[in-house]
Amino acid sequence: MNAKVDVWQGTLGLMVLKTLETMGPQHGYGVARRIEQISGDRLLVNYGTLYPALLKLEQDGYISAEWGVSDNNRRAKYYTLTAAGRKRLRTEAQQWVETTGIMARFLSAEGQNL
Amino acid sequence: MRSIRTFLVRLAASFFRKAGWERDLAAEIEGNLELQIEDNRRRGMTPAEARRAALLKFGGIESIKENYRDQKGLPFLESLVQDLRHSLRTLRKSPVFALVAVVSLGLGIGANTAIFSLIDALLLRELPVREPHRLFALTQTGRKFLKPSSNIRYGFFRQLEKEHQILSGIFAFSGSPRSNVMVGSQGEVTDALMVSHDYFRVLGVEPQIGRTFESGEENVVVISYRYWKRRFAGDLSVPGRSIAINGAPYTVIGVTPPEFFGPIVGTWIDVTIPAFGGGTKPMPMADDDDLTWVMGRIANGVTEQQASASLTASAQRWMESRGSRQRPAILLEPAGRGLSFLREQFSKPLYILMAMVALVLLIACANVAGLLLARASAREQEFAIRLGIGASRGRLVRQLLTESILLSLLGGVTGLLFARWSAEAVAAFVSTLKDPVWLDTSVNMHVFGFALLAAAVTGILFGVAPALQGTRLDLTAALKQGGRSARGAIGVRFRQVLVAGQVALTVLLVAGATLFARSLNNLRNLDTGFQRDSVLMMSLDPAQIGYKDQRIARLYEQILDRVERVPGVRSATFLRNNLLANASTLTSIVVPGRLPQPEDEMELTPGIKIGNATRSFTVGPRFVETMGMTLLEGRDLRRTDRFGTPLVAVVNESFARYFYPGESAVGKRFGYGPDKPNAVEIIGVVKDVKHKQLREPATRTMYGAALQDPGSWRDTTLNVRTALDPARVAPSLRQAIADVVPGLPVFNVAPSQRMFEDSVVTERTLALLSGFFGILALLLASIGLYGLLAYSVEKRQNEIGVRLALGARPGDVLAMVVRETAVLIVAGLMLGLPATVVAGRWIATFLYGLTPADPTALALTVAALGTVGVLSVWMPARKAARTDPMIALRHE
Repeated sequence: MNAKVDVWQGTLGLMVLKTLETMGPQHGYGVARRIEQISGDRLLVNYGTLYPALLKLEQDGYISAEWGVSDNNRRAKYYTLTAAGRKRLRTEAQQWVETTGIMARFLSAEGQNL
Repeated sequence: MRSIRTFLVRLAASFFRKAGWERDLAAEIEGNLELQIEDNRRRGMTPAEARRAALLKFGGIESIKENYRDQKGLPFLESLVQDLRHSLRTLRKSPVFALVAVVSLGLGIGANTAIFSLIDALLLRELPVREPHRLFALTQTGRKFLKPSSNIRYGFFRQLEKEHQILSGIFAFSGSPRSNVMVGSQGEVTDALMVSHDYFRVLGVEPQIGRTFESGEENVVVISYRYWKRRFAGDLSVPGRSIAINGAPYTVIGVTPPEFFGPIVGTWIDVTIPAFGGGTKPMPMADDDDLTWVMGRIANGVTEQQASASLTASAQRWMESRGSRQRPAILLEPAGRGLSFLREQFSKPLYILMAMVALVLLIACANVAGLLLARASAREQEFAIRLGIGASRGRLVRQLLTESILLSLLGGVTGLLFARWSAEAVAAFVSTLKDPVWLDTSVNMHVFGFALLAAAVTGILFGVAPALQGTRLDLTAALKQGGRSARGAIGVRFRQVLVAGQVALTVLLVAGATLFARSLNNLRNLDTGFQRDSVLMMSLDPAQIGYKDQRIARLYEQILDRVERVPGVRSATFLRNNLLANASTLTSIVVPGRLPQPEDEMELTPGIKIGNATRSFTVGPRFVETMGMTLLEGRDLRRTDRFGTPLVAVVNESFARYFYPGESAVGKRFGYGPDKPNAVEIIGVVKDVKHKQLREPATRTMYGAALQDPGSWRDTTLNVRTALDPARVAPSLRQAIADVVPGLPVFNVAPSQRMFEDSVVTERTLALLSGFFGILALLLASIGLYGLLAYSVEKRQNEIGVRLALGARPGDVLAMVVRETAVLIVAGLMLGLPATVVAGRWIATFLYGLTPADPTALALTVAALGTVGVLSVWMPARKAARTDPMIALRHE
C-alpha cells in the first residue's frame, strides 16, 4: 500500500518553517514540492490548506512574504523565515521530537514492562 | 502576546479590507500553477496533460480563496457587522415596531437600573477611600446602650492611636446635632461631624485644596467639596477663612475631594471638626467616657481574627488597669461600605422594589418577544428563500438574535437615561426632614454594567424563542404560501401563553401596588389621638449656644411668652421627643399601695427591660391643647407648673386604667423611687395618642411638666398651633425667637403634617413606586394583549370571512374575539391571584390594617385587569365584526 496521505492537521506550519530554514526563501509551490519530496511522495499538500497556512504564519510574524522572480522568470511570492519564526521552529521541533520519542518508546515497550 | 498581534492584524484586515489581496492571491496561485505545469512537462507530459494534472492538483481555486478569506480577516466579526447593518436596516423599515420595542425595554431596563443604582449606592458600594476593605468598625462588648455607642473607652482609644502594629490607624467620630454654620452673616443649619485628628489620614482621603487636621488642633474645620462650591463659590483662597459654628469661631483649613461624602452612607457631611483630641473643645472627654463610633484600618499582613484577638487582649489589660473587673472583647465589623442608618430601614423595601421592576422587565420582554414572533412569521418567506439558497439555520438564528440584542441595547441606552433622573427622584422620596438622604446615584461602572447585563440578558430572553420558532420552517410550504404564514397557529399559541403570563405578572404587580396604597391610606386615616393640621414645629437647641439647666427653663418661658403674642398663634408648647419622631423614654415609677408586678416591665430596646415602667415624655405647658389631644378628665399642664412648685403630670387613658382600674386617676399620686413615693400628682387624663410611631399599640404614658424639671435638655421641638396656615406664620415666629435670643439656631421648621408624612416614608415610597410600576405593567400588558388580538384577527380574516359567509352574525364574531381575550385574562388571573397571596407574605411587614388576601385590593386588581382587557379587545373585535366576507375571501 502506498496511498497518499493529506498532511496532518497542525503539522503543516512546522513543515513550512523547517522547509524555509533548510532551503531559504521559497515560493508556495516550492514549499509544497519540497514537503512532498521529503516525505517520499507519501504526503500530499493540499493548496486549499497551504495558502491559508502561509497567510497565518505571516500574520503571526513567523515568516515574511515578498514578490520576486523565479529561476525560470516567473513572478512568484517568496516566503522567508523571520527571527521569531526560527525561534518558533526550534521550540516546536523540540516538542515534536519529545512527543514522537515518547510515543515510539511507548509503542515498542510492549512485552517488556507489561 | 503573539495571539494579540495576530488578532490585531486580522482585525485590521477585516475593517480596512483592500481589494488587492484577492488579486495578489490569484497571481500567486497562477504563478505556482505555471511552475507546476513546467515541472510536469519536464517529467515528460504533453502540454495538455501537464496543465490538466496541475489543475487537478491545485483543486478548486474558489475554495482556496474561501479558506484564504477566512484566515485573512475575522469571519465571525465580519458576519456580526453584516448582521448589525442588516438589523439596523430592517428596524429602520419598521419604525413603529422599533419604537414600541425600544421604549418598552427602555422603561423596563430603566426602572431596573434606577432601583439597582439605589441598591448599589446604599448596600453595595464601598466608600471612596483608600483600600476600603481594610476598614473595620470597632465595638467593645459589655454594657448595653440606648444610644449608638462603640462602648470603647476614650483612654483606650488614645492608647490605640499611638500603636500601629495591629491597626495602622484608628479614628473616632460622632455626629453633632445639626449645626448652625455662619459664613459671614449667612447662617445655615447643616450636618457636621466631629472626628479625631487622624480621620482623613486613616481613610486615605487627600484634601482637594488646603490640608487636614494636625494633632491637638482645635477650632479648625475641613469642608466638603460640595459645600465649598455652594457657600464659597469654589474660592481657591478659602483656607484661612473664618466661619462660626454654633457661635464659636473656626478657621477653614481644607476642602475634601468631590466624591468624598463622609463615613455615613446616606448623609453628606459638609463640615468636619476635630474633636476627641484631649482638649476641651468642642467636647471634653474623660478616659472612661465611651466613644460613639470607632473605625480602624488593619495593618498589612494582619488578619481580622488576629486583630480582634490582639485588640481584645489590650482592651482587657486597659480595663484592668482602670480597676474594672469586666473582661470585654473587641468586635470588628467590616466598614468598607461605611455606616448607614438607612440600610436597615430600606434594604427590604429596595429588594421588594427590585423584584417588582424585574417583573416589569419580564412583561416588557414578553411584549417584545410577541412582536418579534409576529415579525418572524411575516418574514417567513424571506427566511425560506435564504434557507433555500443555502444559508444555515444557525446563521439565520444568529442574525435574528443580533437584531434582538441590538433592540435590547437600544433599550438599555434609553433605560440608562431614564434611570439617571429617576434614581435621584427616588432618593428624594426617601428623604425626611430630620434625615435628608443623599445618595450617590450617578452612573458608575456597577450601574453601567448592570444596565448592559440587563439589556443583554433581556435581548436573549425575548430573542431566542422567536428566532428558533421563526426559522423552523417547512421550506416548500412556506415558499408556496407566498408570504402568508403556513402555520401561524403555532406562533399564535405561543403568544397566547406569553400574554397570559404577562397578565399573571401584571396581577402580581397591580395587587402589590394596591396593597401598599391601601396600607398607606389606612395609616393616613388612622386615629392618632392628636390633630396634626395647623401645627407648626421647629427644633431649637439653646445648649448649642451655651444655655444650661435653669437658664434653659427661663429661656423657654420667655420664648413661649413671646411666641404666643405673635398674631395668628393660638397656643404653643414644646416637647423633648416630638410626636411620631420614633423616640421615647421609659421611666420606673412607684405607685403607692401597689406591689410591683412582672408585667409592669416594659422593653426599652430588645434585651433591655425596665421594671415598674411607664413610657414618659417631658412636655411644656398647654401641651394637650396645642397638640389637639382629647382631655378626658382634669386639666392641661399650665405655665404655673414651673420650677419649685409641686410636681404634676398628665397621664393617658392606658396609664390610668392600668394603675387605677375602676377609679379616677386625677388627684392620685405616684413617685420615682422609694424615697419619694408621692412626688407627682396626676392632674389630667388624656385619650391615648400614637406618640412614638403610628404602628404602635396603646402604651401607658405619662407626660411630665418640662418647666418643673429643667434637667439637661437638648434638642427640643417647639410646637405652635396656629389659626392661619402654619407656613405663613413661620417667618414671624422665627423673628419672635430671634427677638428673644439672637443667634439661637432654629431648624427643621415645618408643619407637623410633615412629621406625619416622614413617619410613613417607607410605606409612601413603596406605595408610590409600586403604583408607578403597576401602571407601567398595565400599560405594557395592554400593548401585549392588543398586539396579539390585532394580529390574530388579521391572521384569521379568512376564517372570519368564511364564518360570516356561512351565516354567522357580526355579534358572534365579536363574541368569539371577546371570549378569546377573556380566556387569556382569566388564565392570567388564576395564576396571578394565588401567587399574590403567597408573595404577599413577603411584604406583610409593610402592610397595615389588611392582609395580602385583602378582598378590596384583589377586587380592584381584577377590575383593573378587566378594564385593560376591554380597552385592548375593543378595536380588534370591532374590526373582526365588521369584516366584509367578500373582501376577506378575495383576500385569499
